[in-house]
Amino acid sequence: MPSQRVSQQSKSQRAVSPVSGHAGQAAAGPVPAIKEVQAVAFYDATGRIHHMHHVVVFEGGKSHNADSAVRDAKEKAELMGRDVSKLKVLHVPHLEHPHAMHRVDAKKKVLVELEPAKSSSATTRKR
Amino acid sequence: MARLARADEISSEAREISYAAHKVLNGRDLNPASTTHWFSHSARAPPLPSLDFACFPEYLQIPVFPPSVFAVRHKESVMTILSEWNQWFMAWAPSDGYSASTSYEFPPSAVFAKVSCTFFMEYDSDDVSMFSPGIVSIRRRKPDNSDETVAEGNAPSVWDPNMTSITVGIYIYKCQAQLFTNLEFWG
Repeated sequence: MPSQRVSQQSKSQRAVSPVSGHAGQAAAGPVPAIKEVQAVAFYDATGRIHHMHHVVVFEGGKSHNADSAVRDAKEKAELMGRDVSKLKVLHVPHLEHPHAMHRVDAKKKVLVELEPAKSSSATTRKR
Repeated sequence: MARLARADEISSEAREISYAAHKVLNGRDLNPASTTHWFSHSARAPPLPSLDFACFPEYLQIPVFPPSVFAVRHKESVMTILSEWNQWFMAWAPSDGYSASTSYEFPPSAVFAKVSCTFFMEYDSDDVSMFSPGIVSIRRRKPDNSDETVAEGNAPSVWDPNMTSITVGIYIYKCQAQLFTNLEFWG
């Protein structure tokens, strides 16, 4: 499913990004190519994602279908002490921007990219 | 007798040891300027009779050897790094907690995996912030060809000679932080 980039905050509210992009990857030597990247989002009625699970499959690695990806995502969330049983689930078979943060457009059932944003309550340190 | 050494002393000493080891093992000197060869090593490195984590004070046993001369013993065989894969991504949680996990699936491999935090910025300096990266679990191939999942309890590093999957995770609260994942493939 195509994801859609939206700007959630004004420029002045954005946090400083310490690197040229929000994410990246690097490799040295004969690393297998990445075959697929899937995502499973556990979100509430507002579309806020509480837990996001990615599956990165290298050549020769175990592939997942939607059921096994969701099942695996739930297992991992539980291992992390997260209760996702009451949350809605969105499975994205081909994640376009795996390094981005997302929310879910609950009506369209698609991921929407987010920009890094400071909390509105963020303050300077009181002396 | 161990003594506290300056960082530049350690670096210099490590370089000298590395070059000496390379000369012993490969019969030639390393050009100090050609450090780009660190990853173009051979998996057929001979045994290291006396160089395993040697020569450093106990509190400074940092594996700073170039991988071309850095090897470990596993079940009486010597292994070196064949390749390395890194990924990093930024996460943020302005007000509520957020967690994420990533599972990497690959063919059975000897993998040394590490995660670390490479950026952290709290959003609300008057409240608590938290960023907790770790390895959630691994899956490994057993001798009978079956797989088993092993919970790792948020460990920062894991080694397994027959790993087929690893899951790293973060929990983040009122801050922005960057997770760095490092997968070393040994052979």
